Amino acid sequence: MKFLRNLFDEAKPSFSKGGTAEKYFPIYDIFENLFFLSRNKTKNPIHIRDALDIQRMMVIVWLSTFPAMFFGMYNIGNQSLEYLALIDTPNTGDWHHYLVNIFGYEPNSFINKMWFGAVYFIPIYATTFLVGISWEILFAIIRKHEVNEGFFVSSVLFALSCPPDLPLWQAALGITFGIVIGKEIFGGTGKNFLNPALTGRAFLYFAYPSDISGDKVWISGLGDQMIIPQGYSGATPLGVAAESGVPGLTDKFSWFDAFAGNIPGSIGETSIIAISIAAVILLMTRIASYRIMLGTLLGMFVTSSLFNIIGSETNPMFNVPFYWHLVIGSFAFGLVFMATEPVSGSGTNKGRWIYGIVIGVTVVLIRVVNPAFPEGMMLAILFANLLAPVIDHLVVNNNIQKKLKYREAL
Amino acid sequence: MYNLKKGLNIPISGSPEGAVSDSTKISHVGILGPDYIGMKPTMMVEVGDQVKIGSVLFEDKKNPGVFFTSPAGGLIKSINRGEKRRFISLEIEVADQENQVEILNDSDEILLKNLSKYGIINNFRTRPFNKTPKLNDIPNDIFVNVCDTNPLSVDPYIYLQHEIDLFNRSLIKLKEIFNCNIHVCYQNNDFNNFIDGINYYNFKGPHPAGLSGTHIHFIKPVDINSKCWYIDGQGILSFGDFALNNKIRTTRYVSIGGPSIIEPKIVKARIGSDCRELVAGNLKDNSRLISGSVLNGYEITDSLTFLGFYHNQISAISDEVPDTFLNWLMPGSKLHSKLGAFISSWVKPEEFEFNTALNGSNRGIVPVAAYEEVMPLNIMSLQLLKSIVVKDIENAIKLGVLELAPEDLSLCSYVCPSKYDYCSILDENLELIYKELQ
Repeated sequence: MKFLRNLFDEAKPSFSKGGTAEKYFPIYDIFENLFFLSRNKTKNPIHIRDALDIQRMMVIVWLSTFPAMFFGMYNIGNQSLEYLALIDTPNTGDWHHYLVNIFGYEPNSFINKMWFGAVYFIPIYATTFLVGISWEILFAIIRKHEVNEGFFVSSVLFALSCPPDLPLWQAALGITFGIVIGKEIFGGTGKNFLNPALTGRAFLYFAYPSDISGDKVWISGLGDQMIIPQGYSGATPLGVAAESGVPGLTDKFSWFDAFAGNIPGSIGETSIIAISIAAVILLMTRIASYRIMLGTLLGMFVTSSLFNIIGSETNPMFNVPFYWHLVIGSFAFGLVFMATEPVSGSGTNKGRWIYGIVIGVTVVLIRVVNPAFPEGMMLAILFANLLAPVIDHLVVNNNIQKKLKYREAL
Repeated sequence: MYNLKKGLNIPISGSPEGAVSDSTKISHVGILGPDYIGMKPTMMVEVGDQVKIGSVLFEDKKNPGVFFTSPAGGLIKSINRGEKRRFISLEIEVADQENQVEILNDSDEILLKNLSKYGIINNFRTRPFNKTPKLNDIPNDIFVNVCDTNPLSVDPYIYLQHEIDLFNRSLIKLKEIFNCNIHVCYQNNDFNNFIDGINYYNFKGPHPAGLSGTHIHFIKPVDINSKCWYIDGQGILSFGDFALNNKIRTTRYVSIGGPSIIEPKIVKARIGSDCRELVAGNLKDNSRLISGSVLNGYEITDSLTFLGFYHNQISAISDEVPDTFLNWLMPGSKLHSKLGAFISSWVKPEEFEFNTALNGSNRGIVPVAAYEEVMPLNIMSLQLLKSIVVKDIENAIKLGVLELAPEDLSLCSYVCPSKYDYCSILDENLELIYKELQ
């Protein structure tokens, strides 16, 4: 530790004002902040400060994604090895294969499953992280500010929301769009009006639909092999529900499978248990807003129940009850990690309720009555992001008017 | 009774308690420029002049007719100026034998004039803008603050009760000369000296329940046209001594506390005391000494050594910031935070030893729940903070910026994870609005 401190102290002058590498101070700053708390001191008139800073806050969110991340890796292996065993072709066909081979394709081994998942997830995450942070550093150098730790969260959330077979160049392109267009051109973290991770994800969704949606992308290898055994489908429960409603769902998956995460889907979204752990951490530390979470649940519950009551003979999604909506698709993942992103969400307490309800209502609307694509959470949140300034404007104006009236009454 | 729920009492160690004692003898006192917002002095004395208690020292160029007088008899030792000749402080060496200038307030009319002439009017401040009232201004409301909820403060009633008779007679006199509404806000349950014709309100709850800004907001919120003044209990004593006894008060009750104070206590000290003299022998090494509270005060430096005119406390905290390795991973059982991001929120130590660490570096504003949780006023805190940061004064006025003084935003600054200083930013905005109005 002392050695590290000395190392930083020695390097600091060249990165500080007047130093030879002054321009690259943000890079130095990232590494120093990684190891040591900044030595900044308080100034007049506030002499003590709360211990929480943005770095700590973002790291907590980052750490809270770990259960979902590790379960996600396990689940990639679990789903894919099962499929590969079924078609009896233990070869995924591309470069992943050489790495997977180190431990083998035994579908019942926990280590093999984890390793298989890691081989697929870690390259996606590493690509996302490296490409993303390069953009962050570039903007920090040009704009002369520090690199914001919010990027840790954006990158992991983006990677977790991708399907396991995503080509790495698409991961790079997606996070580039998310960071640059979704955040940096508006001024960086704190000034973005869209969730950067979701912006990147939505970009890929519309630019390369065949790689990120449909029935073939959720099981690694399925897309390459294209051998579909009798009675097998790589479709996500949400896709199944859109096709054949609740009977189709219960035929293929149990509700508990969907709850525990033993289903195909994006890397981090499948296990409600893992996501709930994150929800507990985020709510206990009060970093995420419980108002947004409850609002979203409420909106989803009311809208889906309403559709259940109305019913439909041609559209099987009408009859999917709220407890299935909760566990399929990216509803829970979006609810806990994406909707609660404080910057792009509503900034007033009343607004947070409305914002949450809007997400809950919209997600069910998209899932049920929109014929084009079954997944609605990503678009619902982006839509609510766009609506958040309007919601806040109305709430704030209401407050101003009420205060004016109160003053006049005095 | 107003029982506020939102807010935060920061659990900082070293709270002063016990009986009031006299301070050690003070050899230097001073008047500080930064105490008076927007004031520019026209000096009427020079270094080396002899002054009496109540001798005129300077006039406010921006508020002609309002004078500042000496709080002590002695020798003008120095006049300190900063960048662009900005007035910082005027230092007086206190003589062994002090005399006071002759004062005779034999009618209410003369008293009104003398308030400005002898600088007593400076005990009052206006809301909006937190400045000394203009010459010949008459307020509609005066808020008297007998609360203090700042960290390490003491309940003003503890010392005011010794002079409660003077306090009450002063209120009556105040009512008589200004003929306006007088609102007294108190927090102590034993406060029971109610006078007819004066409004009393009991405020309970965590900081900022004891700030005048909070009282005014709940009782009679101000706007741009309001003629509202506020003053603290000790200011009323200064006013009373002057109006009733023709005497310029030279003392003030001050609480001394904080983790770096060896023996926290309450003392009766001279107005404008040299803070280093006040805490001599009572301060740990490597400490930052602060005139005022840790949330709203200024660091005692070589050019700013005196107790602020409006300050009722002196605080001291450690100025040593230890290197924290991997701070983002540490449980943090000894670090205080409003939100639950540290283990301290669950093990709940009773007190924390604060130091001068900023605990982070500047980042963009991320809307966390903490801003709303420490703001009991009916103000959209996040929107207000954002609008003052970008100096959108039009919007800020709509959101209620005129109701605030910097101290009202100190908790928002305290909890800010992006480490903004909203107090100074508010100051700049109010100054901007004030200039636009001229």
